[in-house]
Amino acid sequence: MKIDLLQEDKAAIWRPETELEDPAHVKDAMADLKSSGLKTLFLDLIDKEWLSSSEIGVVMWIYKELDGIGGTLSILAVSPFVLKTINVTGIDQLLTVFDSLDKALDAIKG
Amino acid sequence: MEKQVFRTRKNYESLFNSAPIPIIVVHDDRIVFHNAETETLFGYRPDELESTPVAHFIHPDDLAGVLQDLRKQSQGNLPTGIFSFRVKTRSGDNRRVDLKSSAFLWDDRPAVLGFIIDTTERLNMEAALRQSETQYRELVQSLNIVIMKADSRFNFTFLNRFGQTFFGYSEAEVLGKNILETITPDVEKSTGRDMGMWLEEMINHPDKYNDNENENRRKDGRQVWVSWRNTPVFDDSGKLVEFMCTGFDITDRMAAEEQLRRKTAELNERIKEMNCLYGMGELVERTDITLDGIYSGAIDLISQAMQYPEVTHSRIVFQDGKEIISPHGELPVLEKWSIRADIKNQGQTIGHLVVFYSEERPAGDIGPFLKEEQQLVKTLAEKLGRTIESHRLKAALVKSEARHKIIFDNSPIAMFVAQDGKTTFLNPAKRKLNGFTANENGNESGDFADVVHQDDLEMVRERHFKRLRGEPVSNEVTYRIINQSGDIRWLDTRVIPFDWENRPAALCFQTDITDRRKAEEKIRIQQKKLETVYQQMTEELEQARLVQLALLPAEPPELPDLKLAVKYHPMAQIGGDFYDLVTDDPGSLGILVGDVTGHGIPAALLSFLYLTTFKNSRSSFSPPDAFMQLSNAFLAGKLPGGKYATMFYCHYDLGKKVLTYTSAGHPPGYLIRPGAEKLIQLQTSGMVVGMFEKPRLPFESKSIALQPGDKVLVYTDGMLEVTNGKGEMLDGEKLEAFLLTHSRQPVDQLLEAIYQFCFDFSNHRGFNDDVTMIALEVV
Repeated sequence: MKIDLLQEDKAAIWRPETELEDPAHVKDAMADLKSSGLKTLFLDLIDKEWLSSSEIGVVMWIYKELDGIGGTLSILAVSPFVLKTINVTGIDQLLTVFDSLDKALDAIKG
Repeated sequence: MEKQVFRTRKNYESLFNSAPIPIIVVHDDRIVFHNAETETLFGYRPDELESTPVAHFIHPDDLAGVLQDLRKQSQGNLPTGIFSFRVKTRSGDNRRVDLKSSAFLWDDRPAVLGFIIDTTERLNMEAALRQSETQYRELVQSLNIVIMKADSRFNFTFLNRFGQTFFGYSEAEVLGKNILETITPDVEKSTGRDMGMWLEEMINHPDKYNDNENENRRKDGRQVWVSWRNTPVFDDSGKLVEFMCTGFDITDRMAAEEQLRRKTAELNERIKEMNCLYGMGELVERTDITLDGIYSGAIDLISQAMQYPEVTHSRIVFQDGKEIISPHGELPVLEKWSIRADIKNQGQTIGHLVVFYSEERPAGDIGPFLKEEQQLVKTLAEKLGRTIESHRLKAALVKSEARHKIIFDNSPIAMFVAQDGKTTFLNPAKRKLNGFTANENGNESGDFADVVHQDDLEMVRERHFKRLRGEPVSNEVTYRIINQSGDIRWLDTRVIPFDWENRPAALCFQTDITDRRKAEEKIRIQQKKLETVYQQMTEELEQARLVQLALLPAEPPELPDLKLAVKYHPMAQIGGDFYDLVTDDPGSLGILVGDVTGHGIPAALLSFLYLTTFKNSRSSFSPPDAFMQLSNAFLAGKLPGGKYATMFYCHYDLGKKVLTYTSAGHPPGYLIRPGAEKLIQLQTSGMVVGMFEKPRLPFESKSIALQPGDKVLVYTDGMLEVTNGKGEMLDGEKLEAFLLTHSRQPVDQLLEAIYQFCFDFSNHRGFNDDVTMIALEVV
């Protein structure tokens, strides 16, 4: 199982380590999410120091997949390099970036 | 009367002549009458006898005395008597005679009548007898034989000189004394025989004991042995009157015989001991007998080896309480009748062997035992100790062998022994390797040629025999065999030289590497193919690189009042970075920098696509954001999932010196203005190109007027994606500080400096992405 359920099964979180580099893993994770019936996904990148251009592409692909089914992708990130990359590539215009899971969950409640 | 006288005379003459002895009549020193025997005695004729003076017939030494006596007698001055003297015969012999004579008147004249008795023979016999007696006596006295005579009660009547010397008694000391008081002990020491009773028996049955050997005693008390020959002497009535005994000193012989007997006995003891040791040796060699059986056998053997086996018992007592007891060995052990020895194993006493007599026996060296018996017991105990150790080792060896056999039999590695050019003692894995089932005998004792491939046979044999000869040879070898199915198998063989049944041999471990060899062959072929493919790919990549280079500007254009510099360093032969410098409008310069996601060929191919799209979409008359919009519209939805490019495009109006720029998710460019304390970031909104058909964030163009001395730097993020030894990334602030510091450097040098700065920051580990930098300077 790539995806963990959160908030009384209202959301899911995925904490990839190196899987973002591997399209197969990403597809598995998305399959898990779709099979759970959830449309809200938190992509936990808090432990990542930086994102490569390929990983940015994957993030955007996930965004597109969720966007296609009316879902929502949010990112958890704190690394300045990650945040800057997200900003430069314009991803922050597409989705919400949280610096902690608690804030992300609060956002759902709200 | 005359006739009567004549007849009487005749009668006398007849009487004299018939007399068996010589008779003579001597008158006036002449023989005047003789008889025939006289003639016989002297050997003379009658006339010679009667005409010759008597002196002629008498031995000169006796003549005077004889004539004197005859004369005296004839004159009546000597009575009748017997004269002994010697006479001479006609033949010259001297004979001794006794002349018994008396005076009488012959023809009335005084004369002597003599009767001659020839005593020569008698005297000779007597002399001979005397000599014989002398010799006999001398013999009796001088022989080294005891000669004694005793009366019927064995009281001494004679003891010869040797006997006296031998027994140390003088004859006077023994004569009349009984032999029991002198030379015969009351009790014979060696046999315990009562000699008084023995003599009584001899007296009562003298003929039964003509020969006997018995112990005698010298005066000084020393014991001697004498072999006696006893001759009983009886009188006419058959009554025993005396014993004549001769004795030989047999003390030395008896001593020798005693020594021989003792030595024989000792030898018999040694034989028994040797038999015991031999028996023990056989016992321990038996493989069908347990240790307990050896213990029992040992105590039987030791009992039989003692001097007195009939009263010998033995026990083996171990410290752990175990006891092995011979029949009746449970009898109480009297220390003084026992000998014992410790049984040791590995230097530790684990028990002892006890041998004891149940009845008293004569004293020996150690109580009733001989020192040799003590040594035997000790030797046996030592042998038992060694046997116990040997059995323990054998048991351990059997266990070890069993374990090794299990390993040997179950080893997946083929094992066998090679000796004298043959394979022997194969384990199941080896049999299986040779193509037999595990239970089949396979190539047991088979020649190498039975299995080794013909092409390898000579090499295998040569190495084998070299090794057996002790010559240096590698212990690892690979060769082929042909198994029973005719399949060729490749075997890695590791050889360990060792002794097998006391001859040099080789213990071989074999691994079937046929599959590995086939795999290696496949890999080799594959490797060859890969090398070919790699070569092709390299060539193709080179072609691609050339294509990519052809698509990229060969040299920066030379434009008035403008300096351009480009640094393009793909991570591989070809990269995902792309750029273009467009001068198709004489009054302007278009600068494009892009970075396709990923690296290598996919990224390069996409870079071709982006460049081509750029070249087809760009127009010097449309703003940069319109160009980005057009490019995205063309590419979005056509690329593989997650593929995109970031791009930065700027258009510089040479006349107005205005720079208009658009960024599509790309790192911001920098405007480096001389003397300024800060850099101006060239950043616009806008997302990556090719990902979203309808970007939520529209592309944006911004413009900025440039001044002489201004430098503009655009780049891809490859040069920032480096980490130092601490794992820290090169952030924009460090780059900006470096740019400010080096802002006055010419652009070509500045790009090299930036590249070196980033490279140094990576601790010279290099870049993880393509690096592209373009700088322009307004002059």
